[in-house]
Amino acid sequence: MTTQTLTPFTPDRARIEALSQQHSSEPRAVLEARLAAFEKFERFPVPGERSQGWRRTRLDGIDLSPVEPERSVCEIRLSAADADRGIVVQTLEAAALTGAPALANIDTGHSIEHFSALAQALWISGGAIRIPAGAHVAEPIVVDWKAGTYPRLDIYVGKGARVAILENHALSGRLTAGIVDIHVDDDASLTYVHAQNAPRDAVVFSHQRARIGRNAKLITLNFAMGGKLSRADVEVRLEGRGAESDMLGLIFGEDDQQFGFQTLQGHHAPDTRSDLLYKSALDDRSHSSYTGVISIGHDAPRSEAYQANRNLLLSDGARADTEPKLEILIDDVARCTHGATVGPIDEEQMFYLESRGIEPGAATKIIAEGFFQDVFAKAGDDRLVAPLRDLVAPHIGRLGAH
Amino acid sequence: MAKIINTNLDYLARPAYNDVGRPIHFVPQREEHMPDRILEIRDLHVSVGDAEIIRGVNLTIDRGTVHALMGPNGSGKSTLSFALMGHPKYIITKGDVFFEGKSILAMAPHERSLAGMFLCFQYPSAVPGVSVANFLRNCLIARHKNAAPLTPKEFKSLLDNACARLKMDPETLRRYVNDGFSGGEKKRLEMLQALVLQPTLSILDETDSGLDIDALRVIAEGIEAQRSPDRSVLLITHYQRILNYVKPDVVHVLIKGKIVKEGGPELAQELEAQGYDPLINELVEA
Repeated sequence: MTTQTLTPFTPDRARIEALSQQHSSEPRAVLEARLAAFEKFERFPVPGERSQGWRRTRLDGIDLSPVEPERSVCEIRLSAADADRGIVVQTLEAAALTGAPALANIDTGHSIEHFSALAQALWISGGAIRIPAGAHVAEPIVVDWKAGTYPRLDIYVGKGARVAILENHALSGRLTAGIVDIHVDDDASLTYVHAQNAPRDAVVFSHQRARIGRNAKLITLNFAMGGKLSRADVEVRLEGRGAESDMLGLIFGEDDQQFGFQTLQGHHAPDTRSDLLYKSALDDRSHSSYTGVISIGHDAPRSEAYQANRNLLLSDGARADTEPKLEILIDDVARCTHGATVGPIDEEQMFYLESRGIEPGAATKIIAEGFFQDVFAKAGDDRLVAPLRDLVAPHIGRLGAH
Repeated sequence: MAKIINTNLDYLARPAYNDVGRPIHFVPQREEHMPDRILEIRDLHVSVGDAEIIRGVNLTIDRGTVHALMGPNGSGKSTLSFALMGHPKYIITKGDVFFEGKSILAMAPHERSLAGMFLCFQYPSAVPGVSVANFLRNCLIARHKNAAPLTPKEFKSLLDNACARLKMDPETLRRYVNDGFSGGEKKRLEMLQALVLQPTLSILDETDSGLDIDALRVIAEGIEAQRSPDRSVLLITHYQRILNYVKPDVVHVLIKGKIVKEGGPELAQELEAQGYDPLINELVEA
């Protein structure tokens, strides 16, 4: 069965201007950014099965046309203990009034530029979190999306502040395209988890852009197990000397689910370090395609960059594509390595567990659980990953039955 | 249904040493009607791919004995151990293997383990994301499906005591199985598993290779700790070195896939003095 759009929605400039006016006194610069993004949207073609980064993605029966924008609503939860630390939580339009510089950024990513541009033209509301300089936030902040087609989140972590944020995305709707802007200022630290568990008939795009300041650290974990088709561009720019980024990804695919990630480890300052580990466990006929770019600029001597992509095929019908891309413009690199694997569970590993009395079905589960746990542990904050472990557990429980 | 081996884990849950610092030895209750012959290998032929590696091995191990299987590189020692444990790549083309009187050829590797066989790997696999404690918990669950599970306290005490016996840092229990382990750490972890799982027959595949003298001593103590009237050990080794610490009851020499000589502990010393060459030459002349 193919999905048909009976009354196709076609965005235009007038619609965007009207939408901008709905927000009480949206700054002119924000409207200009919307219109510039819209121009990009019109220029970028709808991706097809041959588009870069979309290799072997099957698009038959998938409707990628724009959806009518709906107001985005999210619930942002802070613990009572953290309420008096000066943390500012507000709607995105409110943040725009007092200045949210990320709203002027119209970079559109790579593999999902068409949808990123669309989201940046059409977003209606969203959330903004501002952590004041020096604040050490005790409990994770949780963002739950309740509604919206183009959900947009803006996170600013002030100098020397420390915080953990979990964003849960499980929105229904034919297509959603979200934008996440993250700025980790000097000496600050943020652990950010993006958990995508949308219904199985949804198409989900996410464009995440992060900037990291001097001696600041960002850990991101992209967890994806929902949607019919989901893709994310995760871009990290290390802008200050000594900035660090750990980038983690975890995909669990079943049935005919398709996942795509394109990551960017962008080094733009000396002595910066990025370490990426993206893993997918794919059952049934699910598919994952991964493109990982390491970019080390002239301005980033003595940088270290690591990239690993591991794909575990749990059934004969599952597939994974992986492609590293290195753009290294400087000779003085401390270290840069990348590696990728695609394959079923290692036979020797299975035999090892079986030789200890564990039957093959149980051995498969234990190995798959470990495959995930390895990444969960690296996120370094069990409060953030415990809910994800619970989401995966019943699916792992079904493994080894076939 | 495979027989569940000795479910009595109490001996490890108790302190390994009594209050005057002397080790407490475990003497398990001997069950009635347990066959005296633990392992019987009859005219075993094993191929890997097109190559026949084991070419007619006969070997029997009685309950409560420690056997050493010695041989030069390439003689088929590891092939024999993998074939006994049921690795799918090692194809038994002829002969039979009996464990406690029953043929095991139709049994899957996990069934052989549950029946009481244990292979101490020369190169054990890493299992990233699975902690040693979690791994052992799963091994015990597999064994005691129908028994009351150990309480977390009993389980912890069991593992802590096993670690103490092998002079292992209890922190090892939290690390991922063999992930980033040194050669010596891997061997110790294999011994730890043997201590916790209490197999009737432990097959140690070159557990002594690549160990410094201190680690060797610890491993030897681990092997000695498994010595009991009910349990047997097949110690596979290239070198005589470990036999300075573990005294075998019987020594077998494997060359080119066949047992060419058998004897008591003195045979190991003879090999240490003369090497394998005289035996290889005899074989060539024959």
